[in-house]
Amino acid sequence: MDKRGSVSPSYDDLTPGIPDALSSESVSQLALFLHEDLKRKASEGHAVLYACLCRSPTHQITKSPDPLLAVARDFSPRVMVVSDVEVLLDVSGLGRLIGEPPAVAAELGRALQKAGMGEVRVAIAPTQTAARLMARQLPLDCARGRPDYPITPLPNIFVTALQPLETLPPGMNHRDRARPYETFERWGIVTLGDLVALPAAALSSRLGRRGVALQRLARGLDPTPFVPDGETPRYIGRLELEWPLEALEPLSFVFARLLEPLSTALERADRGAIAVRLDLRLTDRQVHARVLPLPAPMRDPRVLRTLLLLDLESHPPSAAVDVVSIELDPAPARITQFSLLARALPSPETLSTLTARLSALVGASRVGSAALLDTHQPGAFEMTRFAPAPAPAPLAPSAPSALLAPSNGAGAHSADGAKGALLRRQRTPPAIRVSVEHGRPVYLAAARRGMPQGAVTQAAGPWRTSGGWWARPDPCRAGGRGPGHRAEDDACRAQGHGPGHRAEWNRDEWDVALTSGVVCRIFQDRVTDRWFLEGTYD
Amino acid sequence: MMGWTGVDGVCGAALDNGHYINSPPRRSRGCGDRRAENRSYIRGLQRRLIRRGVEHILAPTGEEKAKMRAALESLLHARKLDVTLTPTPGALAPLPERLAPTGCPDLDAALGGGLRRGHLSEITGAASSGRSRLAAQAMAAATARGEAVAIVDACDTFDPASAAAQGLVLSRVLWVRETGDAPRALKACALILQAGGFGLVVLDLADLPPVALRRFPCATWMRVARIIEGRETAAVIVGRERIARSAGGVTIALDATPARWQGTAHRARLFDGVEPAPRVVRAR
Repeated sequence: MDKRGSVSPSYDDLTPGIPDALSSESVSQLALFLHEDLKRKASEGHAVLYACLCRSPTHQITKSPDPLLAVARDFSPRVMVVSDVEVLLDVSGLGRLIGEPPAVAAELGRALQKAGMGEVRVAIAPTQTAARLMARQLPLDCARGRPDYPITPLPNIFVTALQPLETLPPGMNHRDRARPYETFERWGIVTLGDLVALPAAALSSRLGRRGVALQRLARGLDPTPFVPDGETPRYIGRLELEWPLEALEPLSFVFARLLEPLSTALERADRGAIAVRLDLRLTDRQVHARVLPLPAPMRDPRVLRTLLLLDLESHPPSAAVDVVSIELDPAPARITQFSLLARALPSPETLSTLTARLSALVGASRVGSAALLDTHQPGAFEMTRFAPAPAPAPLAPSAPSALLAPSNGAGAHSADGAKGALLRRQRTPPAIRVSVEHGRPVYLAAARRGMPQGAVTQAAGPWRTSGGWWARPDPCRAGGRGPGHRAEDDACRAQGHGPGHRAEWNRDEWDVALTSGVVCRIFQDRVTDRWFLEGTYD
Repeated sequence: MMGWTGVDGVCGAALDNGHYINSPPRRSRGCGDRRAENRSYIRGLQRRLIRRGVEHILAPTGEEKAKMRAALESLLHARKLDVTLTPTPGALAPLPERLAPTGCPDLDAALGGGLRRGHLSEITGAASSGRSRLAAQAMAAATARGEAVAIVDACDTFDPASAAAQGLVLSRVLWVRETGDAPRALKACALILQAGGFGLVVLDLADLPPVALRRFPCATWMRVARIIEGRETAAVIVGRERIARSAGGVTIALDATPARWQGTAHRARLFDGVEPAPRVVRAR
């Protein structure tokens, strides 16, 4: 899919029940099916709808900009000029503002009349090709008084099916310029409906891909996705300051002044910002550029301003700010349907602000959601972005959990510990001294206060585990570590390891209970023969 | 009593007997005498008022009692201090929607359905008493209900693997780890509580030294409790001892119990976990 474009829904998706081969008699059935499906999709609001504005080829453009294009841009930010006489626009979201597709078409007709456009056809269909085909068979004065729009009246689709093959829009697919009309004529295929009714496999075997492509066009399928023109409005705000700003507080007012009109423009276009690009030109002629990807399209200026300020708190500019430039990357606005049964989750705006605040407080690598890794390495996980999905199940009283039920005794030793306890894991296992008698630990001596120590009353083990020997030595382990390794430490921390992490492990693990009642897991590194405290059960 | 304002801006009040409070100096009589008279009169008045009030409070009728209680309750409610009221025997229990079940049927029964939403509760106990497991169970129960939960892990000891083995849906858990010190952990917790939308927020302070926690003034915990008051969030502090003592929340104390082991032979022994022995300690 093109970055700026969107894939149109195919008639195959819309009409899953239509067989490839249709008899001539079933053209009307096809038309009826398409019509009902269009009505249903449009009523559900899920359909992607395109409007085609088609003017007379003899019409002379006397104004600049082109009034047809101007009217199209007034109605939708996604406009594509397909030829000198045709303009396509995406009218998918207008149903909520104007109403049903006929109402949208009527509104377009009125706007064209107001703009002084005389002979213009207006057609709305779920694909570009269908919209163009229908616009071609409408009378030229449809925008003046006698609108005859293709969504509501069934005869239009009949008429479309009865159109000659030459009405297929040119230039939709550059590979099909040399069209096999003569072959079709010899076969007795005259109308679009006849072509649609041909079996696709037989057509492919005789005419190859060109024939199939023409049949797809006749069925209204789009050969290429809808790609809006490059003149999609950009949401940029720029302000040259009268004097340089060093503190963040005055910058917040500048951000508010820039973001509020941008947010209003986004709201008018029914768009949200999916990323914020901030460029600060500094007094030392450097440009401090920041890009904030957002988890969901949003346009609340207060939220965006807070996110920018929090990001600048974490990444302050090196000098005073001279020029502020903010660009918002637009995306289709988010439509949220809340449930009366499911408990509400924090909104993306709230979560973004909260995550930014927490990241500024404790560091970005220490905030998020844990995801377990597919490895046997003890304590391995990675931090991911916290984005809870809505629960599919309705709110129900919690079922009695089996978690507190007495264990059935089948709990073997695992890397996660016993199921009847939670391990409080030390990210960097501290070294301990362990006295061993007959191969079993009998006494733990802690190296510092607060750590469990004492005689061992119960011990279970050893369980030998090893792995990671195939990996390269961890760069953050090699050599001396100075304060300049903070970034590496953060990377290790984001993967669930302490700063002194080693990729390989080879050790004997023990679960021991001490006289103080504390149960902890210790292990002996088989490479260095040193003992470490992995954590305590709680 | 009549109020008046002097030409020099000094305000005073004329009492019924002609005496004045904050009376202006008079040249005819000594200022010291007049002030002494006023003070003695006011003391007498106070004594009479207190005596009458005490008599009124000590010997009210049933109707007066109800009126007084209603007035007091409305005052406390206006100041958001009604959680300090002792519930009357016939008072209604909290609605089930205002409770967050912990996932432990026995404990939920003792709590009247679960932890109270909008209040600050505590889980206290020594190491290996099962407090972390209980907190993980409450979080797992919340994620099973489709709620988002958060844990502020002051010492970075939360183990996702063993928590997932307890049934916790990790993708619904916001984990703030290694905050370093108690004030920062508390600030992170306050940010999460202020954001709202979480069903359960756990502040894990179990590995911090109690001395560091006792440095917090009581008002700190009252402010935390005030943040979530009336919200859908249940906040839980996991620690060694009670620190917050919130009026609306509960304290679940876990007594140390011996760990469960399987097998008797040295080489065939397995650690089977700890069995929490929760004891609900009311705030009052």
